[in-house]
Amino acid sequence: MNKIKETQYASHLFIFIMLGLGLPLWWKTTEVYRQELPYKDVESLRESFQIVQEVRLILKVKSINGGELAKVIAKECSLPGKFSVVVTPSNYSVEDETLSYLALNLEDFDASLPELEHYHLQIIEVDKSEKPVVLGRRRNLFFEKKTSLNLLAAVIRSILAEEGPTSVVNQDFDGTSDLWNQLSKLRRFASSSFLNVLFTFSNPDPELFDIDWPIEAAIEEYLQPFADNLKDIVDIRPSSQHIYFAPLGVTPRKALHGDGYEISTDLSLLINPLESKLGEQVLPGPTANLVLLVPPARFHPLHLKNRENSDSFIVHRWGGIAFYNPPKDSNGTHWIDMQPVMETFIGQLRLLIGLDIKLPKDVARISLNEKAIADWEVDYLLRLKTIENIAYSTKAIKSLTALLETITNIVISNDVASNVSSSLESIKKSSRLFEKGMLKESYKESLAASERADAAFFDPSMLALLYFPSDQKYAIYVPLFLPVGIPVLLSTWSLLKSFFASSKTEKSNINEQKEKHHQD
Amino acid sequence: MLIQLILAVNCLFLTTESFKPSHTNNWAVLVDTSRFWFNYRHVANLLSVYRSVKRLGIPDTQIILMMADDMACNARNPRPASVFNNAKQHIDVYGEEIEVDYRGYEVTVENFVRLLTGRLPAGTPKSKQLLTDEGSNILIYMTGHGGDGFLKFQDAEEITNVDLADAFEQMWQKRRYNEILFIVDTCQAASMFQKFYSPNILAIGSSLVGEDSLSHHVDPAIGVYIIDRYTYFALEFLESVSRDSDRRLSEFLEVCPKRHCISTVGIRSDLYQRDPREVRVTEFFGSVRPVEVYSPKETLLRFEKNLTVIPSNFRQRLTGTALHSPPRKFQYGNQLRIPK
Repeated sequence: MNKIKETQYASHLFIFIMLGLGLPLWWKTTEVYRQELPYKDVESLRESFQIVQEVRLILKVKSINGGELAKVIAKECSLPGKFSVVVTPSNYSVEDETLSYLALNLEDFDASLPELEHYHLQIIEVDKSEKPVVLGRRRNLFFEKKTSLNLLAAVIRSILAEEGPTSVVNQDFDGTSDLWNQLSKLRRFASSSFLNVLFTFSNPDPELFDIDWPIEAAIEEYLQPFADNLKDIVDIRPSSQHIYFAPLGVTPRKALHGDGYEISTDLSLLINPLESKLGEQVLPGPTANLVLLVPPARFHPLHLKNRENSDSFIVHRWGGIAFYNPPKDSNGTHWIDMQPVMETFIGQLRLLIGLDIKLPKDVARISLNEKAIADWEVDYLLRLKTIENIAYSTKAIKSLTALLETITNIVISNDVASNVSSSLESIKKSSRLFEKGMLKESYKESLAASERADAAFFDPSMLALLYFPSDQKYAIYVPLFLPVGIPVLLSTWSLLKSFFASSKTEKSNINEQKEKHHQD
Repeated sequence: MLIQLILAVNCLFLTTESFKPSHTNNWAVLVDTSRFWFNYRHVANLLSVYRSVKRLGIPDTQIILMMADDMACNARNPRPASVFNNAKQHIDVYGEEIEVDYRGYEVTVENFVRLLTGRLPAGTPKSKQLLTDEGSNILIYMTGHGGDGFLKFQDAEEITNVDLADAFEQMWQKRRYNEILFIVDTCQAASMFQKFYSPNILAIGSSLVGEDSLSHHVDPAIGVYIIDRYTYFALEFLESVSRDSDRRLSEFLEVCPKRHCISTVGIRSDLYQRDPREVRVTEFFGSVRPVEVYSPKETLLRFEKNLTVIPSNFRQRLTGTALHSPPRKFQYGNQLRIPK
């Protein structure tokens, strides 16, 4: 009797250890380490924006009613859900009158006007200008008394990046959306904190052409002012190189008019032979390649068939290529005149960064000097890129959380969780700053948001246990636990049997006693 | 005159074609998952596809080539430094300008999945990264030994179809592709794309579940099977495609019928949104680069400083050379020092 009781106690103990301690321990230790993510907050981030940007304009008038005009401009340019435009009317002050009198032309006037910190744009009426609306180099817009209101409103709306993305969904590339928006977006580099610019000089016949270019001086004189103006948006890192013996990827035809050769189709084939020699993979991060190509001697001079003002073309998200035909005879080393070359390259770089503003027809612009970018263009870029960054980071963390909810066996480390939360914080902060019209600060926050979202999404640790799907997990553990499990299960079974048996005998005993009582 | 007009119209059509955004760039990921001498045919498969893709215009910077690369310099190779895909040895597919990105023991499941999802450790060189964006069309070609639901990597590990499907989903979530053409040439190849659930993927497998893919012929000079049937016939098709061909993907899907391939080619097109009859083969095997002639408004950028006269401080930096310096003669250095 005692022996049976002992074995029963032993079975109870085994069952308790295996099911009570072992099973939970196994479950816990094979659990994937998943840190908590702010799923609710991410859910609440909306796919389409409701960031209403406050834009402050100041209107300076001479001869027309400022108050009326200000009201109309504010009404025309405000876009519900996107822009709330506030226009402050004022008359020409004494300083403005003096400056206007002293200025030789509109360019001088534009340069001499003081900068107003609080306002995004100054809209100034002038007596006479070459076109109904003229855009200056700083934050000034000049118009005449007879300029139509529609034109003025249209120009202001273009400057405010109204055509830019309005929703996260719009950021997707699909073949059906508006072609202009697509073109601009496909051409420009993705938003990042720095951009390498690699200037390459390609000379396929160095023994026949002795040419060189003063690139260091050119970068210092022409690129540096441009880069300085862009330092709030992107850090431009220039480098330069020479490459030799790169073949021409296309055989040009003889020109139809004039002498020489021309290329019209298959421009993209010119890139492949260059690419293997460029070595742009050495530079970390996004790189813009600006190549000055000297054609081989037998195709001299070579032009692009449809060239308009420059013998060059842009390759989307890659850079640009320009042709240079050296003069036939030169004694000694021929040094290239860098001014037209750099005008072309910096013009291409402007497009590659995203300065592609669609302005209506009757608008003139004061030509830009080495600064190469107007102050209002800097604002335009800040607006465009802030919205792009916010959309990008929203999309990234939403898809990351959706992904992590679907694929349940990916590890979520502390780094990922902290990057997601800080990205979320930055998105909210950036939206708030953008609403107040503080462009530089909101851009910085949005850039931080997109960098952290990328760091979270592309964290190298999110790969452990990837090839361990749940059905294979059982296939691995069953052979380990079954040999130990079978005796335990059998003893459980026998325990239960004996329990029911004993309860049956008890019942039958009670029944017997009842019968006995009855009988008695 | 009429011919000139037609040609001109054709050119116009071509330039606007290059703007039509169906995709903006092309990438290729070519993976050979096996090693050892008797798997010579997998290397030949892969390198033949590599050559076709390069011929049709995809540059090396946009091709990720993963193979053990132990054929060309193998001690058993009677023609060292070459790999052939035909017993007649017409073309050396190894060639002289081959760029292998992941070679030897770097071809692992982990590296492959990290490559696809972009989760490579910091400091990985750009040539080993898949730098695609939302407009990229990617051609993924895998060859080796496979089974029902898995692909064997270098005799040591396997990648399951579930993992592959999850990797593609992660690529889709981050919009790392526009469309993928996924080709698999192994035994029971169709099992590899059974579990896909992301959009815009067209998958082709050289055999169905339960069937083996067979090789084409033996080269008695080398002593091993030299190419697989599906790739042999696919290559025959690709040789007829040139950069401006109008051959359609639907024709490529019909390559290698049962009488040639013995196994049945499996295709999965339910996730692919376009009609393969409207898609050109060069949209995956060739390369598109959107190019735009730069036509600036002449009055916009007008630099005032003029560098035709090199500033004096720069002249000092380039010690010795001035604006018109004496001619420089380029000549080869003395490499073979033969005493005079």
